[in-house]
Amino acid sequence: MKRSLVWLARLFPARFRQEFGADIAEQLAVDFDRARARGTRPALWFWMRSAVNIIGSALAEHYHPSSFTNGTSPGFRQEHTMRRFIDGWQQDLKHAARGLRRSPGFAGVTITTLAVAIGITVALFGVVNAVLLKPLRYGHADRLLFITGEAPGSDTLHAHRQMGWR
Amino acid sequence: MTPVEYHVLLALSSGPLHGYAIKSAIVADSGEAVDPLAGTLYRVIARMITSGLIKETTPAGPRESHPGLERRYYTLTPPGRRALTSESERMKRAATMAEQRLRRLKA
Repeated sequence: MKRSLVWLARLFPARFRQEFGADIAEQLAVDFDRARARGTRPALWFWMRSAVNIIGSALAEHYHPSSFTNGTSPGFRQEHTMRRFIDGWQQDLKHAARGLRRSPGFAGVTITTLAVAIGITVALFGVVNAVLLKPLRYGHADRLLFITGEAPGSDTLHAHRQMGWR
Repeated sequence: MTPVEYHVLLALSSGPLHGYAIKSAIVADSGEAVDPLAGTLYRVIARMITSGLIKETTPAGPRESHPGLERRYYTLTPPGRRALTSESERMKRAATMAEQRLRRLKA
């Protein structure tokens, strides 16, 4: 039984095992012997708790690594922070992909909504860019005038002609 | 800070210790209220090394004889000492407040 507990510690990632494997095995062995000295029931109870704890911790260590090696150097810590950041993104993307695969209806609605929203945004930007942002194709655009008039018997076009379209 | 993290810092405040000695000190210091299983304890130790609260060290005196692989010893870092001090003060303030409120409840 003791050996099976120590064997379970192999579930931890290799780098974690390399760092703490021997200490984990020692604690499991010593504590199991102590529990066994108290009787069969305490030994069984300890085995069950430890097995659940080791499996849970090993899984947690795979998905949320607490350490890769002894983190005393600042370089390691910087690299570690960056790796955790990238791992976090990968985890989020995988989680999202799994979620979308599980419910294709929801995935369809989400993708369609995104496509329509992106389409509308691009079209609106096209209009705003052409009408407001993009400069006119000829020079001195700031000297252009817009002439209008409301006097009875006159019209704007006539006024333009009188000014010789200067 | 979790109770296990606090007790790791408390255990190491007496000097460098190896993994199982930390576990024994935690059980003794907490009056057996905190007894971390192996998986929990070493993940906490790994996290605390990464966050710079404790670090691996070579003990000054003779090492305890051990049949297996050479044991790793850990010690407090200055940020670890500061974290232990501030957490102890916070707990002291909370305990004083709890005592006052409980006295008022009894009265």
